[in-house]
Amino acid sequence: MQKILEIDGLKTYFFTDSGVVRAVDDVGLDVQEGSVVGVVGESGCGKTVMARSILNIIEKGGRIVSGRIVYHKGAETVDIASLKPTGAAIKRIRGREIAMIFQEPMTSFSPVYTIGNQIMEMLMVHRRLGATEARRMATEMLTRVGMSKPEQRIDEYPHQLSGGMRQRAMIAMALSCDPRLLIADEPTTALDVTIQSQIIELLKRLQQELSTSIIMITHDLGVIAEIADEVVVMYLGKVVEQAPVRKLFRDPLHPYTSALLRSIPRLGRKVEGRLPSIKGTIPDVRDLPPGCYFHPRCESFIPGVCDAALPELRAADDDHRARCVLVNGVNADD
Amino acid sequence: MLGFLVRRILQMIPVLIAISALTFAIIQLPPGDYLTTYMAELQMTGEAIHEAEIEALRQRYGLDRPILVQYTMWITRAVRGDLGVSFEYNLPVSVLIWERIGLTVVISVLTLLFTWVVSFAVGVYSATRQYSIGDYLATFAGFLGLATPNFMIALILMYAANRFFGQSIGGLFSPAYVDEPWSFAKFVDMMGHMWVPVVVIGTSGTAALIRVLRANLLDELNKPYVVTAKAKGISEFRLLFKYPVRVAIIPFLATVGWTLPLIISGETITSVVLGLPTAGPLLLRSLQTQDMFLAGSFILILSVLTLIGTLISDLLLAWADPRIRYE
Repeated sequence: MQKILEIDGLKTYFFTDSGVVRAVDDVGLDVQEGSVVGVVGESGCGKTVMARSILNIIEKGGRIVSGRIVYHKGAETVDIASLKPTGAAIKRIRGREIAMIFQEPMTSFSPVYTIGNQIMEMLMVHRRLGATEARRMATEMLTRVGMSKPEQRIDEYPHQLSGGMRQRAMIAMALSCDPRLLIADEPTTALDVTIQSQIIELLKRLQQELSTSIIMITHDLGVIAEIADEVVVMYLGKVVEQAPVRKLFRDPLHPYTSALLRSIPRLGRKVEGRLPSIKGTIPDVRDLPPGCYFHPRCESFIPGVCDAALPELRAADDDHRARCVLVNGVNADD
Repeated sequence: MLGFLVRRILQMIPVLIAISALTFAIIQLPPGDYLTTYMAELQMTGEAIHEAEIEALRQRYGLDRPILVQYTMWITRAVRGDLGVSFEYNLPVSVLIWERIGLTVVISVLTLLFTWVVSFAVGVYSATRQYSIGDYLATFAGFLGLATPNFMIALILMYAANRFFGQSIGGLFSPAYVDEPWSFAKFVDMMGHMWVPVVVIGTSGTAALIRVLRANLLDELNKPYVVTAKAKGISEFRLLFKYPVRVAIIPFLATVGWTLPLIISGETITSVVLGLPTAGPLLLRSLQTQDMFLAGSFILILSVLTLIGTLISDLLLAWADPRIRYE
């Protein structure tokens, strides 16, 4: 398998009046061709900013401070982090090579254009198609994502569609130019539970049909279990654990990952007392605790070690790494 | 849409009846009528008053009848196109008002276009370069424009033009053309004078609209659909104008409805200061002298135009924003 995206040492900071917010701080991950990488973490852990950094569409006030985002296309490689955010080079990548779908299907389409108009725009801009041809392809994409009555829906406005239908239209738009990588930023969070599983099933099916790679951003480990091959767990802008999905679920190394896994209700499992939750709250990113960021909430906290220095990402084996002193035993390489 | 249009036009009829009746009643509210004002004027100039003549006039115009009868008589004739006679000018109302209303409409439309063009350019600039020096300048100028009464701007402009360029900028025509019939040369001359009232009257509206557009656009720029559009890889120009600007300018269309009444009611003083041959000054004069048919006709016609303006702006809004549907 070939790598299509390598992120290395990515730092995306926000410069606000009340200080610098290190939303993404030294994050690295690889995406293999045709695989699904899940990025999981609580709200505010920097996963969305990381996703937006890949297309360099970071919100006002934030920018990529350092690091590389290398996109491989055959023999060609481009460092997206070094491209001008408003330049022509990155615009050829956005939408055509790397597409993105968003959390809010309600507001992610412009309310004043039909969904057909917005899907066709992709095809007309990137593939230089005429209106008739673009419309034909847009209808085809809508059929493909399971939209009922696509010939009629294509002329409808976003507010005329249900949330699930809008997210289908969003997926149709994102995949219309046959991108090699799809970034899905919490695509199911705003939807009903039944619709959620339909959308995940749809993404899985399309991923296999089109052999598109996916980066799935979510806070829902259930979604990760269903779709991801590799998992990256983020906490406060840092990667805390990285592993293939089976290893992560069977043998989590970081206490944060274990705690996240314990806090999921499971069907068929006997409930004893309350569902465990992670104690405490996420610290303010502008006032991070010394040492390991997770130590104030950690059940395996070792005084004098965990609050002294931030651990490096340590490799337990060739594809499983965690940012915890417990990996390979305390003080293994200190 | 057609059903909505028909319904809206039918709804205009009772509104017009109410407006005309109300204005007619208000015009009649001050004690006396045109003839008492007329007699007072005659007395002041020391001229003889012929009681019989006054009485004949009073009967001829039905001024001795109850107000309801007077209104009915006037409105039934008005519907047939006869707006009555101006007491003061002793001319049919229609002779007096059409040119003035025409010029008012021309100034309104030009002012509206001026307002749109300037506030669009400045508003988009201000929002996309928020907190830049240009934005602060525009904001400062905007608040200044909002806070300064228009007649004040008119006076300053006239003083400056006279003092520094030795030029009189009052009125709409050069003295040579004032009483001339319409010709191409007169039209060109009018356009040369037109920018002054357009700038003066348009200033406050422009300032307000800049603020509206800036605030709206700043809101829209942070909407998720703009991020979606960015992720599509379209050009910056298309990104800005097709997506956030397209939504943010919707309030522009609403201004169509209120520009006309604003210019007539709010800018009468400006028109007096600038000596414009528009509806405002004559309307003011007719109200002062209780020249009731002239005043009533003015208000009636301007009401019709205002209702049409509101209808146009509603239709434009429905067309511009698919979320608005009247069915």
